[in-house]
Amino acid sequence: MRGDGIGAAAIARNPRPKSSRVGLGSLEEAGVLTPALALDIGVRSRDQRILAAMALCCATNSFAATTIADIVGEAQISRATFYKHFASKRACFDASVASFALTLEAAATEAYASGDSPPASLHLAIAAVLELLRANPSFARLMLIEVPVVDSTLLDAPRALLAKGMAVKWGTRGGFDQSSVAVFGGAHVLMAQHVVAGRTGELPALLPELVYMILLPFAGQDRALAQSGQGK
Amino acid sequence: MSKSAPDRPSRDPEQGKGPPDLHRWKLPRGRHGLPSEIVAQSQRERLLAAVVRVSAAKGYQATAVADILEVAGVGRESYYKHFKDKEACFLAANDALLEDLVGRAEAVYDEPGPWPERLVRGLLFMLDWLAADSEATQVMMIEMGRIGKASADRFGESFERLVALVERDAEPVSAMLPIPNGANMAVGTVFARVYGEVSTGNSADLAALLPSLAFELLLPFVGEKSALKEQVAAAKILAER
Repeated sequence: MRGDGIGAAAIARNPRPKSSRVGLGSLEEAGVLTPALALDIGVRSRDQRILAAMALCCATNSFAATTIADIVGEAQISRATFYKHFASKRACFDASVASFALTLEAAATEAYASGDSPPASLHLAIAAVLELLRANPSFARLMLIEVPVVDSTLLDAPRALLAKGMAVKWGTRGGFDQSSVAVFGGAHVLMAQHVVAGRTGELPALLPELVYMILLPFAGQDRALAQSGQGK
Repeated sequence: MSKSAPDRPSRDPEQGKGPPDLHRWKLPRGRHGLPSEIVAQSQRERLLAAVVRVSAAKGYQATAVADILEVAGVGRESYYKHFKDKEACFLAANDALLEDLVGRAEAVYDEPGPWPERLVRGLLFMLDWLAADSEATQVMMIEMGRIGKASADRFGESFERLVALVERDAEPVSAMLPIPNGANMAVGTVFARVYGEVSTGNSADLAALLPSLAFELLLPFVGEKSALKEQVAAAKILAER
């Protein structure tokens, strides 16, 4: 299953994951990929409903403890319908993660483009991600808590891509480890810890910390502090 | 927090750097005339050791109470005197291991010395402890995540405890970063690196991470220049042993 590479970046390159019967095309038709869509509420299509049900079940119960019966009950579909869309619970999980990863990526890209300088763009992109996580608490829990538990390699591709992009924009600073786990791991844990503590609604307040942490390995501590808006 | 709860084997200073050997509580089979509380204690410890061994090998979901009983050499009836279900046994084992890890790391951290060095030595203790027993590490860091809500809560609690330890002693010696959550960020970064290694099956050489983890852990408190010095000092600690 690991080879399915569900990171947003991997999906963008290889839009039809082999193990899952749902391709990117059907997600697009379903409107799942629309940026900034509040996926937790107002779901309209069946695909979306299943993906949202998966996220909700994971958030309430963890992926491991979630059964197909839970998902079909939540999505109000039959077991047969579920298997028409997904080969397995894991395939459904991967599709749910992929759809939200793409939503995050699209929102971040759009926000980044609206900034008039690299620092402003970075702030806007991170703020957009935090806002989407806040507005979709089930998906926030799915991405931040369940993904590392189910398969931490799902995050490798998008993280590596981000780290590469940061290095190009900001350079690299000696002493720091610019590997993607080192760069984004701490930010991930900080957000996950908020979610575990029931403070998903306060995620947007982490903006200065996240700007600091993501800039740190590339721009160094002084510039990272200054850019986080809280520096000297 | 108490360092030796009555229902756990007390810490043995001769025991070395790894997790406690829960199997040493195994008693001879048959009639041995030992008091019943000793027997119960031994049974409990054997069940904890067994649940760690079995779930590290098979995964928590696939582990059955029958597997635990077989490895522990304990009867079903006795099992249910100690634990109401599989999860209760698993959580008790995790808690015992976690207390051993954090409690002993805390003792190392509390030994006299300059603060950055104490922090690095406490960290090294944890890395060695995790590297010494791949079963315990697998259970605490990977299988724990597979049991649902209870694991997330425990993760939160342990994380807060480590953050509090760092903050307790950092404050007097350094000006914190002018942004909040400095200790959270530092501990989170270290956790993510360690988790990254363990989840990809590389827990045997965690100590090699010490220099770069020391840098990341100390950075928010002492700044980049001093953190680089501590990175070099940590490499020296590794080279000298």
